[in-house]
Amino acid sequence: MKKNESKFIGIKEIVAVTLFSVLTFVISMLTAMPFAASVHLQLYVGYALMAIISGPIYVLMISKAPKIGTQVLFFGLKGLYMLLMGQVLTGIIFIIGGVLCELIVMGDGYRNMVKSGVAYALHTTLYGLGSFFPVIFFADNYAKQLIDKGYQQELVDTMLSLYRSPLIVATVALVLMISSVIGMCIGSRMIKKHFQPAGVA
Amino acid sequence: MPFDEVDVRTRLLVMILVSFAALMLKTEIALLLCLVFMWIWLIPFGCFRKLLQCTTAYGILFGLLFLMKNSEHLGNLPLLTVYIRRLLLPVMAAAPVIHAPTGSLIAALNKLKIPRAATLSLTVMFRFMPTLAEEYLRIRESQKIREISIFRHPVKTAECILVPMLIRTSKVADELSASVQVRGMKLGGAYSSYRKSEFNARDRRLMMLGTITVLLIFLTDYCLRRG
Repeated sequence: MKKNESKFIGIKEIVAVTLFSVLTFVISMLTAMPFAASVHLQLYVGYALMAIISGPIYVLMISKAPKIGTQVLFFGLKGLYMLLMGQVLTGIIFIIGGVLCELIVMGDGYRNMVKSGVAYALHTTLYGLGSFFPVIFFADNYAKQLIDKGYQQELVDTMLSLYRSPLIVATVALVLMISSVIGMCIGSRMIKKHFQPAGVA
Repeated sequence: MPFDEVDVRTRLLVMILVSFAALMLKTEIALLLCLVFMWIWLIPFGCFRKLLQCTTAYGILFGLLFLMKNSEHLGNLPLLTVYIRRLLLPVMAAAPVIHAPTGSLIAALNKLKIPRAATLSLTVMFRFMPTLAEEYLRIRESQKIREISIFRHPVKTAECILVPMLIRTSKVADELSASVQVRGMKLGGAYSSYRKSEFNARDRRLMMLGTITVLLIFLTDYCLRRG
């Protein structure tokens, strides 16, 4: 770092982090949608794929913007999007998650792949689980719509119970953490193989 | 179009109100009223394509719910159709905000005293989505020339999409940040805008009408639930 360079995120880093954050958001939608018909596939495969594919994006982002505020902005933008879409609880959780990730990488975290990896694992786990907060906390709204259409109460309860099972939440969190580690490893290799020779990292 | 001069703050308020309503409403009729409100709101802005796309999707998902009623083997699909239908309403409400000129968006966010960093992030976020789609299409076209297929080489395809996409994103970020710095965003002090952000009597009326409409929809929802 140059002598007068600020430790905090600047205009250049804000633009870069925003673009990479949008990219990961779009990837999360694209990887989750094909498996939408099955909650198990969506949770265990869709979001795991998102964690793996977004790994290189995250590694490139922290190599381009290793400044205080990067993690907050990276996660916070997704939280802001959720707030604008009316999902207040999910938005607040994402913003708090961004602050927690920033605290994890405080100090030398951006040069320390372990700390960065932990922050990324936390981000991915919260993000994967957070997308279901509206269904978990506003289950009555969704249940009523289905029951009004003639769906059996037992069937509706079965659908909703999958999102409320602690065992499923725990296993999904574990899968997302493992996928995050794999994504980070792939990202580290891609940085050396592609991005450093191209001069973008 | 008649609503081209409507202030971005008015558009933002309606977007937030509709997003909130889409999450909180319980009855189907209330959600349908919300959809009708979106029709009335979007037509003066000229967002016909978005209107038709979202309404068609809404109708298809609504119909699917009835078709899936008697099947117990579809897992999560019925719940998902309900969830996606609710998400369509905020997407429709966001259309006037996304189509507002960038300068108007920045001027309105500055008037709301939002920090410059957040204004920049929001503006870049809204404007980058179409660029992302264009870059992806160009990458896919170049892959066709090289006969790389996702079905035959899935891992290689992922790498061949991701690497150019990230390199292009990185280059766009560098160019965009240079452009922003040349326009003096890095400097402190008051920030003037080429575009006027005027909150006039019409905006006040529209805000009031929008708020009253959403409140009436909530009231209808409440009355229907009470029977």
